[in-house]
Amino acid sequence: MSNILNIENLNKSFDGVSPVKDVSFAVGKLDIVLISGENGAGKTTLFNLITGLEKPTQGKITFNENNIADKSALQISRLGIIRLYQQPRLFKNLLVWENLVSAAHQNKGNSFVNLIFKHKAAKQEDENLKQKAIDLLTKFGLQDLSNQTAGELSYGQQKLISFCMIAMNGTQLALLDEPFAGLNPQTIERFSKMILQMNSEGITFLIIEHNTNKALEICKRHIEMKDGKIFNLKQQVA
Amino acid sequence: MNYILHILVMLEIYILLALSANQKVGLSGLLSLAQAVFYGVGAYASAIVITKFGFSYWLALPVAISACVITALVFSFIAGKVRELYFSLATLALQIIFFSVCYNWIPVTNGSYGISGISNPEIFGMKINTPLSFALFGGVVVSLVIGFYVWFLKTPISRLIQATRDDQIAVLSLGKNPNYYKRVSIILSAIIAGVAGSIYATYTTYIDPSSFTLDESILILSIVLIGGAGRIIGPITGAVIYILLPEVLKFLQMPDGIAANMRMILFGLLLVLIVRFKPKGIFGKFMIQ
Amino acid sequence: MHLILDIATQILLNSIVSGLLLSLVAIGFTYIFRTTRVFHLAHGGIYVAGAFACWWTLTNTNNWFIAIAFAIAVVAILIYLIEKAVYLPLNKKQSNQSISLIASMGLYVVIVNILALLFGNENKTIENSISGSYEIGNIILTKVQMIQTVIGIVATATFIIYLKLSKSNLTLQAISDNATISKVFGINTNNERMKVFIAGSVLACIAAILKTLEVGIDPQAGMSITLTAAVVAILVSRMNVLMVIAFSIALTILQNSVEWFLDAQWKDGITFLLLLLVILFRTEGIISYNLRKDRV
Repeated sequence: MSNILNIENLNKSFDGVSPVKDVSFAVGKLDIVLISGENGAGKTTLFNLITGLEKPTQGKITFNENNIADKSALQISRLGIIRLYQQPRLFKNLLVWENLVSAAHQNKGNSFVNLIFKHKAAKQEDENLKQKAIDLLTKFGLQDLSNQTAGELSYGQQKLISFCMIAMNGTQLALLDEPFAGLNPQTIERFSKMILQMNSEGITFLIIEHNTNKALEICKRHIEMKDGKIFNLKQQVA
Repeated sequence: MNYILHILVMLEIYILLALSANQKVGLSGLLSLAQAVFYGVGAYASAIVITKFGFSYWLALPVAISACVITALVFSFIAGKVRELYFSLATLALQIIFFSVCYNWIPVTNGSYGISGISNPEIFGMKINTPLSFALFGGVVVSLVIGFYVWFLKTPISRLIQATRDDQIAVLSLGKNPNYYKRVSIILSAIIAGVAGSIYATYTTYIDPSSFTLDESILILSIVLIGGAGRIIGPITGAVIYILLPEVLKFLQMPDGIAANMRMILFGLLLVLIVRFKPKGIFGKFMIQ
Repeated sequence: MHLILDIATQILLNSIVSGLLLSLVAIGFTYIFRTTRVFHLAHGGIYVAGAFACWWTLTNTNNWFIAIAFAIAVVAILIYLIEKAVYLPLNKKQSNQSISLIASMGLYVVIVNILALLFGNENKTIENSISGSYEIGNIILTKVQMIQTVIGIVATATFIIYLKLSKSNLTLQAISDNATISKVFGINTNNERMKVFIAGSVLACIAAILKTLEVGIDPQAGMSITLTAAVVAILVSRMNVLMVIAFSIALTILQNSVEWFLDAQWKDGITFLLLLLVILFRTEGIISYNLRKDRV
């Protein structure tokens, strides 16, 4: 099993500050890796570097054997790395199913040209995607939310739906930034099951979490960070 | 009767302007203080090719639309580079630069003297040169645009345009390019406003820079914010309020001179009240956040 | 050669004087913008309201003291009401800057149209305005310009002294950086906001009166000078009175040079082209590397 993500000697420094110092680790396909550490340990910067929102000062990041350290955020998300933010990011004025369909990797109707010249195919694809969205929501027991405006959902629901958007996209690698933050235990359970489900369907996960107990129930590996460095690389029995 | 038809034509033009602003402000969330620029580009482009090159209206229209598309590309370049308030300020700058160009580039625009003698359109040999025929012509155009939107608002691309408004970083994270959706939106907005401009030019047969000022842009923006952004009914309501307000004031026996100022006072007050108490506007689906 | 030097010097002199007037408006706008984050286009409305209040009182009483006092009172009350009724509530709702910009536009439209209703749209001048000039070599300095310069300097000096004495500069800077934390440290942000609004409005009122002395006033006159002041505010990007004055004068020199050597009306276009370029090259893009943890 080759590694989906390879980080080598990653370093980010500026103005005398080094949020990430010489970090190296690998993520295997279908891994679920927990990254934990105190605030300021460099976890979010690490995510920013992987997803292209920040550029590394030094080091290599390879995704499926491709170097992505110098690629733009848009290119990286298109290659198959998607990030879930701490504060749920969804399209507040759209309905939940519209949110999911918008998250889909491909949709002819997203392009104006296709819309005009291939409109029959576009319409069909859109309808298929809507069905797929509803099926996905049903799979996770969230179908009742499908016609609600996303902005009206509770915080917990928004987090679950934004995860569903990642599931809908069917990306290869998902970076979850503190997914359990602010959720009650039942919702955390539910979320955990959703992560495991999507993992069995082919998504690799990198998870930042402070709630290490809960996270370790689903994570196969554990990386601890401190002051920008990797403090402890644990292989945990899955 | 002719007077009512004249009001109707102006209403149709302002409905088009409001819908164009709705595209950019409502659907894309790009607060533009320069809608009058597209309006003006459409009007001037049409006026120039009709009077200087003898084009017919139907040849002038594609020229006007092309000019608007080029202008739109400038705007979308800027939209891709700056955000929120600074985007609005950039549009403000473009509006003033545009007015400056209209006013001073005398060889092309005739400056403050304006361009006159813009001929009316002709269709199947019949001239559209009466208030009635213009009202019908305008009505057809408005119907087409509204029909377009009824379809467009259900398409995936319009969803993504709105998604870009709601959270462009999320759009980026999901592998889609927010700048593309802003660009499509701005181009659509520009085309509709440009068409409104061309209709205005051939209707009044005379245009000058004073119709395409910052005040006009602020007015168009207010129309869509008061009526409400997002749904189709919002901009139409805003346009109706703007056009009918002076008529209501005249009905209340207000003298003409006062009515003009009174209309703007009420309109400005309405804008402040809406922003303060009902940010979605009267019928809007979307609040400027 | 001599002629060009004379013309250049004259332009320079004129620019310094009108640049000083501009800076009165720009200081207010800059401090208001940086402290409250409101892009206060209604400043232009305040400007003309003050000028008309002064003009009307002067025409009816012929007493400068009463006229000026009344104008300042009108302006202070007006901005007080605006802040309390519009800007502060919007700020409490955590509205973004675009919303207060729109509200400000609405207020401007209301103020200017009420003035047009009351006084008409034509330019109003002050009768028996001060005429006459001094000549220094080939350069002319009108008496009005003299008064504008003196009062302009006095007004800005007063403002600077006020800032120093009340230690407001530090307070305002704190609010500008982070209003929430300022409150935690005991700064009464509501009070400071109001003080800044009133101070800025008074400065604008003085500038308006000085301008009216020279060329008269009409309801539309506020927008142009406010927009130019806004350009200065964005160019300067910090709350520093001397920098605002310097940039105001520099911008006025640019405008007047364009007016003289190119064509009168292009000066607006050039000013805003400058603004556009500054916006494009100075502000951050959408993937702002200002990504702080609470934003992402």
